Amino acid sequence: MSDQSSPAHPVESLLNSAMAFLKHYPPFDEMDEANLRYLCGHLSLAYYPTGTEILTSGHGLPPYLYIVQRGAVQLRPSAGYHVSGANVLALGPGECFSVYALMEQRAVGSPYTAVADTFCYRLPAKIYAELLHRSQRFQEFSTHYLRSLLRDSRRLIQMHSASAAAEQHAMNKNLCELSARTPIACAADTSLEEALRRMHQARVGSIVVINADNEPIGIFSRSDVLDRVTLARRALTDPISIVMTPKPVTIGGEATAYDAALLIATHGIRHLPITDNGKLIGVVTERDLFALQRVSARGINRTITQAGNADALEQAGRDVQTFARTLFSQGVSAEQLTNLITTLNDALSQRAVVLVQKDHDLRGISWCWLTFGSEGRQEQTVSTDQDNGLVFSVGAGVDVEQARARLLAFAQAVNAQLDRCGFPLCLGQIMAGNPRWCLSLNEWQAQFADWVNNTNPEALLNSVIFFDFRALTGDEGLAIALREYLNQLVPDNTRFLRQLAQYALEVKPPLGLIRDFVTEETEDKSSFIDLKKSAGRLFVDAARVMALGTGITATNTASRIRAAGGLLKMSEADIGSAVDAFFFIQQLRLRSQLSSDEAERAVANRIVPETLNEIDRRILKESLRQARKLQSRLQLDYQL
Amino acid sequence: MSWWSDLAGRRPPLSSAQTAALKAFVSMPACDQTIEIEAQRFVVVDVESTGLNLSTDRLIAIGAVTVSNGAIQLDQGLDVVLQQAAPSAVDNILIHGIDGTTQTTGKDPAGALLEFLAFIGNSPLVAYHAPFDRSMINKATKTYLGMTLNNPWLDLAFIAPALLPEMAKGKQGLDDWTRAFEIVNTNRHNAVADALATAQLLLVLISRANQENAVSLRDLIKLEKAQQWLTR
Repeated sequence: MSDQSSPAHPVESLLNSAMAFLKHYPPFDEMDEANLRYLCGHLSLAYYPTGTEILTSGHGLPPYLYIVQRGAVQLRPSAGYHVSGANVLALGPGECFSVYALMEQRAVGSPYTAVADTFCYRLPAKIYAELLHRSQRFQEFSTHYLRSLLRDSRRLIQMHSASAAAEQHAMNKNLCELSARTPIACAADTSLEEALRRMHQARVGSIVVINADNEPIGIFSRSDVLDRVTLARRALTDPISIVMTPKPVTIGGEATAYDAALLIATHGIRHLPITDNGKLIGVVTERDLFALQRVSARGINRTITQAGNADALEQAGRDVQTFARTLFSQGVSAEQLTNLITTLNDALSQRAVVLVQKDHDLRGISWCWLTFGSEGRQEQTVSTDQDNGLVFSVGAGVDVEQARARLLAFAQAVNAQLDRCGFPLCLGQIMAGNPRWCLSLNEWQAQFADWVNNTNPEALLNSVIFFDFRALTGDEGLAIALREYLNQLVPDNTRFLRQLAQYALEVKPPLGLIRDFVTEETEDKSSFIDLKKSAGRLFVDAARVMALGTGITATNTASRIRAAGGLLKMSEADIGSAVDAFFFIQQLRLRSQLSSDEAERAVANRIVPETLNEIDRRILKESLRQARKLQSRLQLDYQL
Repeated sequence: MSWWSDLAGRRPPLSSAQTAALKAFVSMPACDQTIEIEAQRFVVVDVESTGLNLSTDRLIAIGAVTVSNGAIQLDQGLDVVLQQAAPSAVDNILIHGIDGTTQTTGKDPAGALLEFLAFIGNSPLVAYHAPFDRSMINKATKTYLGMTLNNPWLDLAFIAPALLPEMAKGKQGLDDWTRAFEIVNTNRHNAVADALATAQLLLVLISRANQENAVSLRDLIKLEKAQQWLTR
């Protein structure tokens, strides 16, 4: 019989009530059953009427991990700082606090306050610690809390334009979910009449031409009818294959709407067949995507590529900035946004080159327009100075100096054009119009070898800027040859790599021992952190050393960390955290740039930590810690 | 011998361990009704029975949840089903969801009730429409253990309107109150789930009581009495 009843034994139905609730929320949704039971067996449920301060610094080490069951809890900004209401994030059902304080074994900074009548599950700190050992999922959640905070931060930004949330969600959906329509397709020998009738009946703007294996081999769209059929006086009995655009650009079904928008912008197309293992499964159109975002990437791209003169291009330059601002306010992530900005800026620069080239005779010269620095790394934020150059080679019988003179005239005109489009001239004169940076392939190679072999401060600074080069337009083969040359040169030269690493370690993360951040002071004594100089740069420089040391050709910081990190045996989680941290800092930079006007641009990289909301401040701190982690890694690798 | 021996003939005899447990329970001192509410341990109970008739219907199950330190302790609960000679009627089963097999294979009633007594100790008991739960439980303890409980009872059906008069209009049952506080009961008419919902209402009322200067169990009992008088 139950004489030895143990009242403290958890009761199944009580456990179930908590488990059923927690299973809806991360990280509990992915914890295994046994650990979740263990967790629920130690919970208590408490009530906090509106206005109660649930967890404050006065509690010292937090006694519990709190999980909101219902109601809402807000993190009040530290006293004395005026932060607008929108900057204060409310935690809702399923959200936890304070993982940070528990992980760091310290009191919370700002108080957590119930802003509605709230019930919270409470997990004793001791059990929380035990769970970190037991559940890998729980540990990941806690240690990589940065990631979940990032999501919160992004959500915060979205709150500024409430209607954007749904859009954002849709843009992150993969294409499979997005295009429910069965694609209209036909075989290559289908008559024009038949193909057009099918398009008309289905009321679609394009038809995909497929082979026997259902693989797209061509595409034909409504807008092709006029010039390829009507004006070309094709008979309607002709097969579609004569007029179709062969080898159409396609996209995989697992890609997101963002990726599709990017491709559409890059190629200036309207219809994008979606494939799964090469087989046609759908078509996503410009209009589908337009429905998802207010400003169109392709629209801007069209303005750019069709710009017939400097004025039109100048207008396009302004459009890019408006577009960036719109997307940013919709909570688009820094990675996606910088990709998009880079794509559009590339298109802008390419068009500028094309426009100017019409007036210049460059026959007999093979050339490639290079970009350096942040543009070379595809990390442009909104407006950045020009950093460009030219690499060229000449055919037999053409004099190098004569070719250079012709190229310089051309390049200076491009530089002036770019300046008008919103890319200011480079104060350091790193521009293709400068004879120093308009070099033949041989000259560039000699220059690179000189910097690598005779390291002096100036050479080091130059290598930092120039080794991040990327081909923008022209003969890409020249850029590839130059990259290959550099990759043979560097990995063997430990002295150079060591100095590059030393350079990367020059700036330390502005993390304070006592206060959160070490700040600089402006003229009027307000303290700030320079996000470019003392945050973003830490990642960029470390990633460069990692890439050059391992012979990775990528110039983009995130790509470098991902590719070289793998070769250097960094854990997946560490790589992910470093990349997230970098993007967060980029995101902060973007935010501060987009919210500042022309006059403030010089200080647009500065951020006053106190103006950040609590969550962003913590992420910034965590991000800087990730930078420190990368730096210690370099220190170890190069024994510095 | 003692006061229960003369009833022994009409009941299955208790084992010596059960007798000792019962003895320990009845010899427990009464709880201190003057200590702060936060420090008080409450046991919120809900019973399921074969029906609503106090004289003919029998107790089937008791669900109990603990409130102490101002919170529901999810690691301390009780869920016992008393073994029945025959399962209750089908329409009754549909209410509480305790099927015939569970009813007939439940715990032996004396053992189950002793388990309940060990769980509650001298704590005050809380229920919504407490007289029903109280009667059902006392009837069962009388039958199987030959005694009734002396623990103080709180009835939230009176405490709630007493503390929240502005919200009381039109509210009759537990559901009316839990709905008002968005308390979710995923398993209505399961004894433990109902006790859990009642316990959440208790938390809300305790926090309200603090604002109204009702600081101890005794204050709450006074409030209840006054409210009973009002609605009489």
